[in-house]
Amino acid sequence: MDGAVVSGNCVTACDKNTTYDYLNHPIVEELYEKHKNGELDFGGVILCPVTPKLSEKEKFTSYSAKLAKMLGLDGVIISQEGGGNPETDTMLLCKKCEEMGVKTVVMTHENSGELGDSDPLTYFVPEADAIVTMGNTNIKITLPPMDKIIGDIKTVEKLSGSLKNALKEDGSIGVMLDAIVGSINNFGVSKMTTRLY
Amino acid sequence: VAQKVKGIYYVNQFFGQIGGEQEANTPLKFTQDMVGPGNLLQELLKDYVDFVGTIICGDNYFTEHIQDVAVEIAALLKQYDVKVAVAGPAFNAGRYGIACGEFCKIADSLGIKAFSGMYEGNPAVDIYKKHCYIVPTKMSAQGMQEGLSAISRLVIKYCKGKEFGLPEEEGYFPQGYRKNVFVEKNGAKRAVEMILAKVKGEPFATELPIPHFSKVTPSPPVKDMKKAKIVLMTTGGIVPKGNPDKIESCFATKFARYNIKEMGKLTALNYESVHGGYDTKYANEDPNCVLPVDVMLEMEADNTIGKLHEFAYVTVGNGMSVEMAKNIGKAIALELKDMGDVDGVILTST
Repeated sequence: MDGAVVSGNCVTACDKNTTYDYLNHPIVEELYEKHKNGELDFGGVILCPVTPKLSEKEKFTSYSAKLAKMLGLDGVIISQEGGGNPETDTMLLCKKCEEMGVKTVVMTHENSGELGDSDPLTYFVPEADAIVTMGNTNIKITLPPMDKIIGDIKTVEKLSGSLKNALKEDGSIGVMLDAIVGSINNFGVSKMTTRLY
Repeated sequence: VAQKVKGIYYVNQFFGQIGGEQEANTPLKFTQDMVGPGNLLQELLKDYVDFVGTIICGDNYFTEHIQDVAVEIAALLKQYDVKVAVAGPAFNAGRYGIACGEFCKIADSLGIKAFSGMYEGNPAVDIYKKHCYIVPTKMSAQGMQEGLSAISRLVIKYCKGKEFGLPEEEGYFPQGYRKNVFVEKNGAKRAVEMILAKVKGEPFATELPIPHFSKVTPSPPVKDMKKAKIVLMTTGGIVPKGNPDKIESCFATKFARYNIKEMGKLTALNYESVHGGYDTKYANEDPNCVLPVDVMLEMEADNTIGKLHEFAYVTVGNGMSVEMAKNIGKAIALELKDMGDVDGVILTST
């Protein structure tokens, strides 16, 4: 919370955690709050690296789960950064914690398609029976015209999650939520979720 | 009083008062009267809907002549220019459920709001829930009045131009669309509450039930690689410089095929990566590291493989929904089948 951990991100913006989010980490804050009230005993934060190698995914998630067990934790909240690759690590970690008797809640984004009728994640484990979803990144929205624009607005058409002809004549901008930094942040910054209709 | 809209009603031969199972082969017919349960339906909706009549069809006839019946139904829906279509309820009846669902699906495809009622275990619920509002009913016709009342409540809401709320509040089976909504507490607070409940063994509700993933059965192995014609394929976004097909860098909606042999080797001069989900520096310097045409050409030259296909298939796998991926996969597979001489595919991802 003091700036020792900062954001180091690239590309797709929506499911990224900014440095501000690290400095004002909503899960840590909430856990401290409940710790203060005596509702729980805040055991700490475990950082689990994510790499593309399967052997390393297995290794890091096994060690993180073991650490949780050794700390004597009853439950962990698993949040993640980004999509695709980290979805696998998150689910592996959930599975391994549950197998060791450490209960889990998983926090995630969804890629449920424009209509929200597609499978939301690339990988699931049956142990993930408690999930908090931060929303579907595939939704198109229109940003209203702004009086003042900082930077080169044309780059909005080059972003991950940009739409064709994003810049409208009236100054409004069409984007997917994907293009907006932190809009589906997995630390649980926002009050958004999804509901099945 | 708002202006009434035109509606149409569908029943099978039994509720259409033609007869039981022995009349299940009755062909489709239309009458301008309301028949059987239709009278109660018209009564319940008298201030909102004018029903132009009832379509009746035998359950066997419907399921055995589904394409012909669809044409006839579509013609009637267009002829009478209805805005609301109601079918059943079908309760737990299998064939009747399919008929009601199919009727609703045809209406939906013409932009007509469709409503039905079924027992939760009726297989037609899962098949057709996307195309219409299906209210839960009892297993049998004992639940007729209740079912028609529930359907009418939804129809009235629609006629008043109101948005439908959550399925559990409105009383219809979820149609399978996950929508973004805002709730009172942020995700962090919800997560901490959920873990406390879970650890204490108290009830909690996951916000995302685990979906069922379909398993893909692998094809049998290629018998003789030395004779095999192999296609290269990637989700890594390697395209001819300038991205002629404008494949999107994220949430791609299309794929393209490129003649990799015509261009000679893939180099930084003629190919690039348009993928928006990884650092493309190295792929731009040497596109072969994502789409390994160089190695495949060597393997073709020393006859490790029979032949490298001249076309490589490319899309961008960044944030793509599973549904879109399925569609793209099917479309590519069809093209490969049409070619007729493809023995295997190497698919590279990033």
